Amino acid sequence: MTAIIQVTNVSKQFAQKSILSHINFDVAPGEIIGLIGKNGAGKSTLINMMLGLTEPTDGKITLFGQAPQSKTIKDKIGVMFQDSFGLDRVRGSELIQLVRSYYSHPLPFSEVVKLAALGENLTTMVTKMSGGQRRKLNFALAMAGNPELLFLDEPTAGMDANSRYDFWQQIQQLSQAGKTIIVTSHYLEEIEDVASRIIFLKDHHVLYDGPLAGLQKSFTHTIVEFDSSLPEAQIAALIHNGDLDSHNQSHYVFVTEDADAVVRELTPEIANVRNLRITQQSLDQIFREVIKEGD
Amino acid sequence: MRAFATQVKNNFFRIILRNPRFIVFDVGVPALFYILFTKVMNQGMPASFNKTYLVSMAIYATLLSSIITVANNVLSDTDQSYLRFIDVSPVSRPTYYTAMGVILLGLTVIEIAIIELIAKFYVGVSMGIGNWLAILVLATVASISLMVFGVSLAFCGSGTVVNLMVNVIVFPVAILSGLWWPLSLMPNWAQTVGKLLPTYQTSVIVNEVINKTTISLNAIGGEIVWLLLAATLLFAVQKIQRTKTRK
Repeated sequence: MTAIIQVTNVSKQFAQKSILSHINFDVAPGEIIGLIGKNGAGKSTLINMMLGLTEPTDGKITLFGQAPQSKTIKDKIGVMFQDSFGLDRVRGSELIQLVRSYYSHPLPFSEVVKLAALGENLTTMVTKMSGGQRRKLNFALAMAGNPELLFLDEPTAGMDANSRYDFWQQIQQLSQAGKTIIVTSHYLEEIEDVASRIIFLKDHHVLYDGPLAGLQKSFTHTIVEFDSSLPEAQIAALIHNGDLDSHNQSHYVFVTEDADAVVRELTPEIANVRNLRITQQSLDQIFREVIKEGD
Repeated sequence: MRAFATQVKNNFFRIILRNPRFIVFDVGVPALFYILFTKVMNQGMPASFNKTYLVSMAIYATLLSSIITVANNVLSDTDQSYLRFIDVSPVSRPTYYTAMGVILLGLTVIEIAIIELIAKFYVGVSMGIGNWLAILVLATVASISLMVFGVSLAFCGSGTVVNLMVNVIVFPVAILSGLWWPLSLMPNWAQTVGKLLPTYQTSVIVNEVINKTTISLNAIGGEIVWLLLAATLLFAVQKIQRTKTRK
């Protein structure tokens, strides 16, 4: 299948400082890419380069087989920037009409309004809207042109929990409709639910590029946690196949690559063990752990 | 075309209809000056002064809106990340600027028309319809180069820097080009500088037209030079800004 985005050996430097180095990946139609990495990892820079707002120092990026600056591809792209955009003295509904007018095949007004989910606030001046309302409006505006490719940079920042939940539901629906989406977020547990593929940026490089399951396999450890009244020294003497991650009062958390072995090691004292639980690390836990390594 | 028309409609709402600053500043200040100098502080002035000062205040109004209002609107659109959105949308910046230009020309017409109405019905200036129209049309057309300068200024720094620059430019230009009081009352060096300014050239052309004297080719040439300078400055500022962002 022809790639919608091709990033080939892209590097970016600002004032002699390397931001991104030798980045390579393709994005196929219908994929939802979760672009993750700590603050300053270069996620927004990479998105800006894919949008043609910033030029790579080296390498090449194409969208729909053309240069990102090409005007002909802009009709197929929707963008939600990290900073919400707006206009002074313009109502939400007017801004929707304005942005719809920019595209050749926009979504119907009623559909964009539904995506914005602003209710009566739709007629509020954009600059008087709350941060969360502006994010929702910006998402609707990104969708106004009925894009094939959607860039969402920290889309849920400033939204309340309910709005975030509704937002990701909409993203799931867009995914089912075959839209290609590139999304960054600080709420990694949210990306975990929607992304078909994760691109993890660390130390200017792509540390991992593949499905979430592969990321878990490559980096994850299993967590074994339980409650026990036994002292820490005695527990530590029992378990050799795991590392003690935390011990808080009677609650122990071990990180291991072999949960079965840890359980077997606990067997002699199993009468003193309660609430035994074995879980896989979440994307958020993997992220924090990988980020910590080498810092 | 649909994008351009919708952009113009939105600009009308946000720049004229819902912008009290426009009413107070761009229309109110020149109108107030005109009334003050023609009805209150007009002792010893010849009868023709009311007509000459009408031209000055019409040009002063275009100076205020073309530099201050334009710079503030473009600056606000930049700060609100709207221009960045334009850059990733199918609409081009020239479309955005043209849509803003159309509304600002409309705004200029409204400003001048209000001052003309005050001149006719309150101050009692009497002229043929052709002269009223000449002031309206010539001052409006001449404001294009000032608008281009206004757009360029918006990209010259942060809000504080732009506001400072705008004030540092507008008021000295108004004074030096003889819009507030006659240029002949100023020192020689100020007269020399003033005669080079675009607002002075406009004033010369409009006064020559309404007084039916020979139109100075120097003044027309001066206007064209200023328009070219403004366009070059805008091109350079945009180029620098884009290079900075992209590199």
